[in-house]
Amino acid sequence: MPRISLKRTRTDVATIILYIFLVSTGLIMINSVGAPPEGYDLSLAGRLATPMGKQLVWVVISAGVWLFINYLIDRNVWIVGAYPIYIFTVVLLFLVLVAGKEINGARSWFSIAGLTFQPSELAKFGTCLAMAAFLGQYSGRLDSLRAVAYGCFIWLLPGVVILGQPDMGSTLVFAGFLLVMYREGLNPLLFVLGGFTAFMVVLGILFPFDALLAGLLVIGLALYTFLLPRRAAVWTLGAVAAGAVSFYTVQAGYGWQTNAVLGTALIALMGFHLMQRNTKLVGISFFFLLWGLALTFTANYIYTNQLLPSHQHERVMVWLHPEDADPRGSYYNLLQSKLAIAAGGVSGRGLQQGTMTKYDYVPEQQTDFIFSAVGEEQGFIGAGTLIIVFFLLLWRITVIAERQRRTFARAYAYGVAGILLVHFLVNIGMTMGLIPVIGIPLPFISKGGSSLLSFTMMIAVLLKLDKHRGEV
Amino acid sequence: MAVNFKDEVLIRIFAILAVIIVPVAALLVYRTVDIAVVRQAEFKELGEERFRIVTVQAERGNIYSHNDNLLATSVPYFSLHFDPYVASPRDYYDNIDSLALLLSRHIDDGHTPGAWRDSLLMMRDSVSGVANHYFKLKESVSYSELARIRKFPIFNQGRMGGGLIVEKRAARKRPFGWLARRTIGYSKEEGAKVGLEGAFDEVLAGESGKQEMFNMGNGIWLPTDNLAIVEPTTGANVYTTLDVNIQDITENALENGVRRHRAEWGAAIVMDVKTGAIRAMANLGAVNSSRNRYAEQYNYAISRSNEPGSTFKLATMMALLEDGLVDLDSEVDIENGVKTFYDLTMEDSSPQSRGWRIISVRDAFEQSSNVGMAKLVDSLYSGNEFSQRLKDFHLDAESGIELEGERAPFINDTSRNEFSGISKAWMAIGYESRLTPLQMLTFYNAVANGGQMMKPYLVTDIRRDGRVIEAYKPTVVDRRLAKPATIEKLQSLLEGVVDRGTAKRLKTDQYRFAGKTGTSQQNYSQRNRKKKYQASFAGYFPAENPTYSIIVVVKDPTVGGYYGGEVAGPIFREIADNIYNSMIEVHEPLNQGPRPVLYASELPSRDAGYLPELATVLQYVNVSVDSLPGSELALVSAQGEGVALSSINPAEQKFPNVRGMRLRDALYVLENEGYVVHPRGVGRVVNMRWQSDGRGQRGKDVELILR
Repeated sequence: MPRISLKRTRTDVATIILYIFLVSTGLIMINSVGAPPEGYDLSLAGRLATPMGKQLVWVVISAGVWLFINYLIDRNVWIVGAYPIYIFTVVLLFLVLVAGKEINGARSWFSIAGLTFQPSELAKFGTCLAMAAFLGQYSGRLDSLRAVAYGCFIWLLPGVVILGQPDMGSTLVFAGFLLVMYREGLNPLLFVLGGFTAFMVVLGILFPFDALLAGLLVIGLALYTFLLPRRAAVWTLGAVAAGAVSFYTVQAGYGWQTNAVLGTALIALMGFHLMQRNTKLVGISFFFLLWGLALTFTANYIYTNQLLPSHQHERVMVWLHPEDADPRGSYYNLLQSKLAIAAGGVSGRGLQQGTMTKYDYVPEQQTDFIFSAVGEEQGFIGAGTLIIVFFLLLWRITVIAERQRRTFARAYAYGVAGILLVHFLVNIGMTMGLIPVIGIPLPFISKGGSSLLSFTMMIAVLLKLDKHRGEV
Repeated sequence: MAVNFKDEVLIRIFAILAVIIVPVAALLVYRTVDIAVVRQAEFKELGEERFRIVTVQAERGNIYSHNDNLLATSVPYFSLHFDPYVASPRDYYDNIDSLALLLSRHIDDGHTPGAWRDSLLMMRDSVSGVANHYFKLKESVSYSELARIRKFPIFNQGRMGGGLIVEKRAARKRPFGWLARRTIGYSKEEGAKVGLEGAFDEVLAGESGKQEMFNMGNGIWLPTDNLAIVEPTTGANVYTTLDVNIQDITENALENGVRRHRAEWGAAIVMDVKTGAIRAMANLGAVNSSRNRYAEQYNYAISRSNEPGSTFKLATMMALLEDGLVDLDSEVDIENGVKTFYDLTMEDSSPQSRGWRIISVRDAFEQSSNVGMAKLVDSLYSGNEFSQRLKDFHLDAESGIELEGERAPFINDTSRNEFSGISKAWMAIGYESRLTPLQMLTFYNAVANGGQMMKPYLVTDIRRDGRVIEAYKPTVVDRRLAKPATIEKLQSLLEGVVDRGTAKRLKTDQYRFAGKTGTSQQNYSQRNRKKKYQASFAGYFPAENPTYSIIVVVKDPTVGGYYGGEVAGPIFREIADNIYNSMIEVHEPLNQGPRPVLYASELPSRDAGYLPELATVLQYVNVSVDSLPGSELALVSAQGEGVALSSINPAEQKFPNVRGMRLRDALYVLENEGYVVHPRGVGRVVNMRWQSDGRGQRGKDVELILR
């Protein structure tokens, strides 16, 4: 057991600096993007009425909450209250479905005295605590199916309830808890399988049927030759067949895809050759081959025949085949966002100079698409810096996590990290077309009080736990 | 794989960092670099060019003639482009047949519906997935055509739904075609600015506006509504002094003249004597070497400055008379029309000079004796005096016409190297000086205007929205160019030219005009070349009340003579004749002068009616009436050279006689007496048929036969 110490450590300053940097950047960007063309009204009431003014109010509230958590609330409140808080937030999620205010077709907000509040943001915090409390029981050995099922239930419950609002983006965020589950012992094979599945689906949509077929033939031939004794003859046969397939597909206009597939196949072949008849490996290879084939061809079939509901099909098309999408229709948002980032170039156009974002051509430019405003006005330098700062924060949280003695604190930290990671990846990825467009805010930057407050509470509690990490 | 727990935890931490967090960060950064830096150029077409401020051309103002006819105006037209990829596939392929049919009917490029259908299909295929593509449908389409084309299937879904892209342009139209083309001119964006369009380009153009445009992709630009745009201000209208009728007359006459004489070019200007307003300015240059096609392509009237020849003798005479050096009946020895000044021999062009020695100054001018004029100037002026006198008459000053390109005049003087001992002599007859036709006319106009020199001008005012924003008044250059006595003498000289002198063959009975012929040899320095002449005639009419001054200059007439009196004079006459015929104000009313003698057969007779009306009509047509009877109604009967009116008093008649009356009067008379009238025909009552009352008496019904 670790040595018992009552020594109190200091609050992690690096995290606070990163936090302040991000929140200030958010304020500056909201101010810049929201600046009316005729300039700001300079009276206090006028300033507070601007998007920046409103956000500033939330920043002040967040700072107050931080101080409150840091100085007035005992850290054990979070440990002991983890489940009650979780249950409270889930109840709020149910309540919002009944009593919530509908904005943009989603019943996600409570409206109290003019201020709107999004319980799904608070649920992230609550779920974080509950996951930490739950995983605290296992201390890195999350290997029983039952435990995995309970763990998944904790984050799936709010996720599913949120889906009823509906708010696809927020639901997706809860998948971030897979990170903490992995850290606490979830079998990595699941991630490999999941990743492979996703990859194959994407592959199936990305490439045309002919190219996939060519790939299948090549891989099949390779496996076949590998299993036959008279290798040399079949090698030749394989090469001829591969050549024929290649020729056919190149003729059909899929030259580079074919070559990529053939190249991959050759590398795979060499790998097989080196491992020489390891039957277990062959079995695994065949499993992945067949599973992958099933996935790719199904995905390809579903996509090319447009079997998905049309808005989802459009979304996939915008993501993986933007060249086919209507630049004035479904592709519009993403195209505008990309164009804004491209317009910024290396050094950007400067604050309040971004016409693309400023004049509403990029949608949701103060909330979900604020990253493209950074891209346009601050250029690659600003956007790149922002990404690096985000990941410095993630790294810092991991460092904090790993120095905890309590599994609760560590799991909590990883929970925060997972949620932030999903937010960063999905939000920034979607503004650049890496990820389908799913509306979730960019933490600390996007306009929105609930989001800022929720993330502030997460970080504040994390630092509070970290400050007391010496105590048992 | 035996990994202990501690190691496995480490592996997991590394996996989180190395497999998830760092690659995701790297991926995001890579993507940012990719979009913002690597592929920026690719996005640049769309991205950097996403917004642009475009200039919105203001509608150009109109140019009007003196009598408010439209000389130049802007007419909108539309160029049509089509983006075949905009319409949804279903709409496109469902409507392609009907669209092809309509296009083949309305866009007359000779394509059949099938050909249109094929090209529509091909367009769509060739652009699928390509950004920035659209095809030109038609270059210029009028508004009504556009309205029809907009109703076509696919197109009727507008720009965003159907892909029809309409661009508005404005074309400059001159309703009178080539009329005064060079004077009206044009203004091209590349910088060529000619005529009134050029000179008043700024006011006509208006102020262009600014509009921020946003690129929707596919080359479609839509105006944004986020910025305060600058609205374009429509150009102002320019009202000119030009008179469409006079311009037409002038151009026709000039064209007839230059064609008749196969001239290199001709210019004619008509000026309003009192104000200096230019009523017509015609310039015709040969466009081919055989000189049978002419066009307005250069403003010779203001830009071609040549030695004027004998028309300049008016200035010579003005100088001599003004300085009191001669009088009209002074004598001058013209030495049989040949005299050598130093090494150069001057000859009179008229052969009759060969028989003359001493003639009056008046004769010398009217017969256009070169020797006479030259001798007077050469002997009576010394040094620079003559040149100075000419400059006093503003002959060295530009006319100051609004148009660009006026050539400055040249008057030789002692300060120049070209000035020699013979200069005075030659200047006296219109050489060694260069004037544009307009500058020469300005001088003649001053003489016509009693010595008051007016600045020629083309624009009376500039109006915007019907409001005059700038008005140009006639400008006096010199209120008194010479003493009234001098001007009077000059006017009589010019009239003498027409009455007795070189232009006597042009004389007409219709009106009197005054003027001076001029013939100058243009290429005397090139001895071996065929001689080129410039024939001119400058003058004004009517002589007793000068209204218009006209100059006609014809360069290098090759057929049918070359003298001013032969070439330019007839053109002057044609212009003056036609203008005179259309001048209402100078024609004497027909009812003035001696009363025409009317005979009984022509006088009204047997007309009857309401006396005051009859009297008024008769008085109006100047028919004398001896005396008026006192009755209400009267009968007219012709008597000698007048008419007599006899009274009709229906009350005294048993049966009223209304013969000769109009129906109105007849009805009045008869119905007052209680008869029922049945009129037949129109005109005057020629017969009355009384109906029987059944007892052999005349009844109450009467039928009137009118004719």
